[in-house]
Amino acid sequence: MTASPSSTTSPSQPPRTIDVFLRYLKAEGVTVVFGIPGGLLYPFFAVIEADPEIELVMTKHEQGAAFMADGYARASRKLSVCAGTSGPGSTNLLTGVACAFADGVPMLVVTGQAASHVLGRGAAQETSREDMDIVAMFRPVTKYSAMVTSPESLARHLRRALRLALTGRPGPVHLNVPVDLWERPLDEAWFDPKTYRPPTHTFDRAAVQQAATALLAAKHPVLFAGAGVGTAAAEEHLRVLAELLPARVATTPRGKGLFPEDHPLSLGVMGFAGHAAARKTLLGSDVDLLFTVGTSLNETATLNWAPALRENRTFLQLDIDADRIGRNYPVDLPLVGDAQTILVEIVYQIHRSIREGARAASRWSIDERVERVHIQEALRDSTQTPVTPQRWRKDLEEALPDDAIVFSDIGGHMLSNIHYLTMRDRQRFFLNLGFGSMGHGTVAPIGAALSQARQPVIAIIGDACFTMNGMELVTAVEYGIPRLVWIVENNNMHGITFHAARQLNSGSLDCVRYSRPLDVAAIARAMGLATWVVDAPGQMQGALREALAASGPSLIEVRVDPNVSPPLGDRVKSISSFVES
Amino acid sequence: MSDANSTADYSLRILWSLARWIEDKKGRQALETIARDVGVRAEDFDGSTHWVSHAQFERILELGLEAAGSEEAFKAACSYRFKESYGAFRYMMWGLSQQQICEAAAKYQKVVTSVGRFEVLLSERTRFHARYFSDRPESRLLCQVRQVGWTIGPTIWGLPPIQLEELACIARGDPYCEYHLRWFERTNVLPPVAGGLLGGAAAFAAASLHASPSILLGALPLVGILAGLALELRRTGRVNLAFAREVNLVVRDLGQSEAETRAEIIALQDRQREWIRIMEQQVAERTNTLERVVQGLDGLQQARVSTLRGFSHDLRNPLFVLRGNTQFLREHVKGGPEAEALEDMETASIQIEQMLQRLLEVATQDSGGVKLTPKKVAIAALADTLRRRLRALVFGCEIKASVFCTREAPEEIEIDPVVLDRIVDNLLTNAAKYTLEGSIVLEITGTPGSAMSGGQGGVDYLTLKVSDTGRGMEPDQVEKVFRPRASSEGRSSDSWGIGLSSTVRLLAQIGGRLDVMSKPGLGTTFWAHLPTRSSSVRPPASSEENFESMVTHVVTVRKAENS
Repeated sequence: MTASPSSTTSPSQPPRTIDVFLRYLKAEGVTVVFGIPGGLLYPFFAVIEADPEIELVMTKHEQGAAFMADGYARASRKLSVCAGTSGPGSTNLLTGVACAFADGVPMLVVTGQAASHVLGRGAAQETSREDMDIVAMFRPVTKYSAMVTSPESLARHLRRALRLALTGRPGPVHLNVPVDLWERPLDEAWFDPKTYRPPTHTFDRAAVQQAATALLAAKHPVLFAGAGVGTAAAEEHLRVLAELLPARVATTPRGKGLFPEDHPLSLGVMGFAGHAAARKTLLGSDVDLLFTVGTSLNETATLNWAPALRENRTFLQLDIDADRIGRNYPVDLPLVGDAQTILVEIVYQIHRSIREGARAASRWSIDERVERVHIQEALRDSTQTPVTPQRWRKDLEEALPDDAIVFSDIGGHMLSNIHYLTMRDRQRFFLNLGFGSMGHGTVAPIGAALSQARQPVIAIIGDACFTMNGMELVTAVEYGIPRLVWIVENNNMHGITFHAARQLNSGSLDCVRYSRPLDVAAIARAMGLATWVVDAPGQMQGALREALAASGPSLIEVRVDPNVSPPLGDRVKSISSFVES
Repeated sequence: MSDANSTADYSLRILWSLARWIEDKKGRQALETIARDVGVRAEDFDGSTHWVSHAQFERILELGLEAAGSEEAFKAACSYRFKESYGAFRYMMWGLSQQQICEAAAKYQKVVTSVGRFEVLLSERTRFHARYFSDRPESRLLCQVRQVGWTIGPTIWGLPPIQLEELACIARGDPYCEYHLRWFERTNVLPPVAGGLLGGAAAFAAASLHASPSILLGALPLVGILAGLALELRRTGRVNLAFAREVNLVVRDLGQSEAETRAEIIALQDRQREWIRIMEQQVAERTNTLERVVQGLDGLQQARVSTLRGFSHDLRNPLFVLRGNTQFLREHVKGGPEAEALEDMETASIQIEQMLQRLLEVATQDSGGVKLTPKKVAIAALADTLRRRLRALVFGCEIKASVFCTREAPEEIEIDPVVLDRIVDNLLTNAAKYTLEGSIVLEITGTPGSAMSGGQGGVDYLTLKVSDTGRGMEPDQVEKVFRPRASSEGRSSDSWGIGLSSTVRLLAQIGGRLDVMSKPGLGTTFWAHLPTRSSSVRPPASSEENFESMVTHVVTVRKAENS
C-alpha cells in the first residue's frame, strides 16, 4: 500500500471508477496511453490528459494508436494501452490489435460505449450486444474481451484482463466501458499486481535435465530461435547456451537479430527470405539435435513446413504456450515455459554435468565461422545509380548504431531487410510477420521510440507502406521525438506483388505501379520532418548520421532501382503451391 | 617613388601567364630583371595577390612586349599555360556555361583591379556585350591583355576561343573600352548584298539588251539575295555545327571523367573502410595485449602488497618482545640516565608499532581510505564488460565461460566503479585461477532487500553469482580463505590469494555481503551482494580484530549441495 500511485481526486471525495482504473494502470507501470478522444470515451481521455504521470499520445487514426501501443510493448516488453471511442474508433483499432494478438504483444485496449441505460435503443455510435457487438468483434483477436456493466465489476474485469495479457503467452485484452460509468464513485479493496498476477516462470525439472543431457550428447546441435526468445528477454541466455556447447543458431524471420548475426555460430535466418547456410544446415542430414525456442514453426519459419526439418534428429521444442507444442512437427522432448527461465536452468544443468566430468560432444567450433552467402551477392557492391536495395543496406550497416532498434514493414523491402541486413549484438529487429499488416512498421516505431528514449529507432519501410499509414508521421513530429528515422525504400510500386506476379507469370498486375513518381521526401518535409534523399552508393552513411543528429524525427528516402527483385523465391513457391493444391 | 607607384591598382595575378612565359622562355633571370626594374620581387608573380600601381603595371607590360618581340608573340605569351593560371578555379569553371563565365569575369573584375569595372550591356546565350571603364589612362597593351583574357576562356574545354569585336578603346581616346563577344559564327550580310547587286546588275544588263523589261528580270536581284543568303547560312551552319560537335565531345569527356571520378571515390571509400577494419582489428589486438599487461601488473602489485603485509605482520612479533622487555626493565630501573634511556626506547618502540600499524592498514586496505565516489552503472553494459573480462581470463584454457543477466537483476546500480571493478575482478580472477577445466558461470541477478537477513528491507541488491568447476574447498578451508593470515602461511600458488579478503573489506565498506558454497572436487560458488544504492558508507576497518568481525558480518558459508 505504501507504493500505491496517487489518486487524482482529493482524499475526502470517494474515488471515481476512472481513478481506480488509472491506479491499476500505474501499478503496472503504464506511463503512456495512445488514442483519439471521442464523445463516448471523453471522461477517460479528460482524466488521462490531466494526469501528470501518464502521457496521452494523440494519434491521427485509431489504427495508428494500436500500432504505436504495439511498438511500445514490443520494444519495452511491458504492457501498453490504446483507446478508441465507440463505433469506428473501435473498429479502426482492430487491425492493430490483431497484429498484437498474432505476435503475442501485451496490450490493454479500451473502447467507448453508449451510456449503460440507453443500450439497445439505438444510441449514436452504439456498439452493444443488441447491435454491432464490438466485444464480439474483438474476441477472436484478443485473449479477453468484455463489456464492463457496472462500476463494481470494473476492477474484476480489469484484473482478469491484466492477468491474461501479462501471463503465459502475452497478448492484447479488450475492455468496453459505457460512458456513464467512468465518473461514478467506486470504493473497493485494492489488489496489488503481485496478488492477482502470478509470474509464470515455472519449468519442469525432469524435462530440463533430459534436455541438458541430450544437448551435451549431440554432435551437431542446432538451436532455432523464434520471436518468443525476445518476448522472454532470453537473447543472452540463448547465446550462453550456444557458446557453452557450442551449437549453431538459426532464427526465424521474426526472430532475426535475437542471436547476433555476425557471431561465428550464426546460421542467419531460416525460412522466408532466409540464408542458404541456415537452410542447408537445418534441412541437411548432419544435424542430430534441433532445439526450437519460442517459435510456433509456422509457414514462414519452416519453408512451407519442410519435412526435412524433422528427419533423423532429436527434436526439442520450447514454448510458453503448450498449444504450440507439436502443432506442425512431432516433438521428442517438449519444454513448456518461459524461455529465459528454462535456458538458465539448462545452462546450470550442463554446468553441473561438466562439474561431474561430462563434456559436450558437439563437433561445431566457435572458431569456425559460418560463411554468409547472399542471393545476388554482387549487387551488394554494385556502384550503379540508382542504388540497388542490396548496396544501400550494406552502406546502412556501417552507420547503424550498436544499440539501434530496427523496424521493418511488410513488402518487398521486408524480404531485403531479412536477407541483407546483418543485425549485430545489441541491435534489435521487429517485424509483424504473424499478421503481416502493412503500415505496422511505419507507425509502431513511434511507440518504440517513446518507450526507449535512449536508443535510436530506425524504421525501414517501403513507399507503399508510407502511403498506407504515413500520415502518422505527423504524430511523431508533434511530439518532437528525436533519433527516430524512417528510411523509405522507394521503387514507386508494391514491389513484392509486382515482382511475384512476374515470377508466377500470373498476369502483370501493372496496377501496383504508380503512374507518377511519389516524392516521399517532399511529403515528409511538408509534414515537418527533416529529410534526405539517397540515390547513389555511399550516401546512406552520411544521411543516417545526420538524421540521427536531427532534433526531431527525420526521413531518408532511398530511390532504388525498381528492376531489382527482392529475394522472394520461397514465398513465390509456397503461394504457387497453395494455388495449385 | 611617386605617390602613384604606391597605390594598389592591379593585381599581378593578371600577368601570371606572361610571367611564366618569360620565366620558361627567357629564364628566371629575365623575370627577376623586370621585377627589379619595376620595384617588385620575382616571387610576386607566382600566383600571389601582389598589387601594383598603374605606372608599374604599364612598365611591366612594356618590358613584357620587349621580351616577346612582337605584339602577336606578346598576346600568345599572355595566354601561356592558361589552364594552370586559374588554379583550382578551373574545376569550378567546368560547371559553367560560356555566358556564366563571361558574367563571372565581368563581376569579379574587382578581384584583379581596383580601378576598372565592367558594365554589362547584353548577356545572352550566344553573345555578350560589355563596356570597361577605368580611372587610369590605360594603354593599348593593357586593353590587349584584357582581350586575351576574354577570348581564351573556352580553351579550357579545348574549344576555339571566343570571337571578340572591339568597338571602342580607352587608348584610342574613347571614354571606355567596349567589347562584343560571340562564340558562334556570325551571319555575314555581305554575300546576300553581293548576290542582290549581282542580280540587279544582271537584270539591268538583260533589260538594256532586250529593252523589254519583264517581271522575270525584276525578280533577279531577289534571287541573287536569296542565293547569297543560302550560301552564307550554309557556311555558318557548318561552322556552328562543327562547334556544337566539339562542345558535345567535350561534354561527353567531362561526363566520362566525372563517372571515373565517382567510381574512384567509391573505390577509395571501400579501401578506407577496409583500412578502418584492419585498424580496428589491430587496435583490438593491442588492447588485448595491454589488458594482459595490466593484469600482470595487477598480479605483481598484489604480490607486493601481500609481501609487505607479511613483513609488517612478522615484524610485530620481535617488536612485541622488545617492548615487553623494555617495560620489564623500566619496572626494575628507577631513576637515573638508564631509566631515561629505557623511556626513550619504549617511546621509540611505540612509534615503530604505530608506523607498522599504518603500513598494515595501507597494505590491506587495497582501495580503503580512498574516498568513494558512487556513480550509476548500467547492468546491461556491465554484463557485456564482465563477459569480455571473463573470456579474456579463460582465454586459451579448456574452460567455457558463461555470463548472463536474469530478469531479477536491477537495471542499474549506484556504486563506486573502482570498488565494483575490484570486487568483480577478485571473484573472476579467483574462479579463473582455480578452475583448470570445465566451466564458469557468472549470473547477474538481483536479491530484494527484504530477502537479505538483517536487511532493512529498503535497498535491493545486485547479486553476482560466480560458479566454477574448480577444485573446491573443505569446510574448514572455506573459513580460512578470508583471513589474510591464511595466505601468508603458504604463499605458494595454491593459496587463495589476498583477493578474497580484499573483497570482504570492499563489501563491508559499501554494505554488501558475500555468500560462499564449496565442495572439494566439485567447485565453488560465490554470491556477492552489492546494494543498488550507496547508503551511509562505513569507515574502513583498521585492525585485524575488526577484520575478524567484518568477516563474520559479511560472509555467510552455505552448506554444500549433495550431488
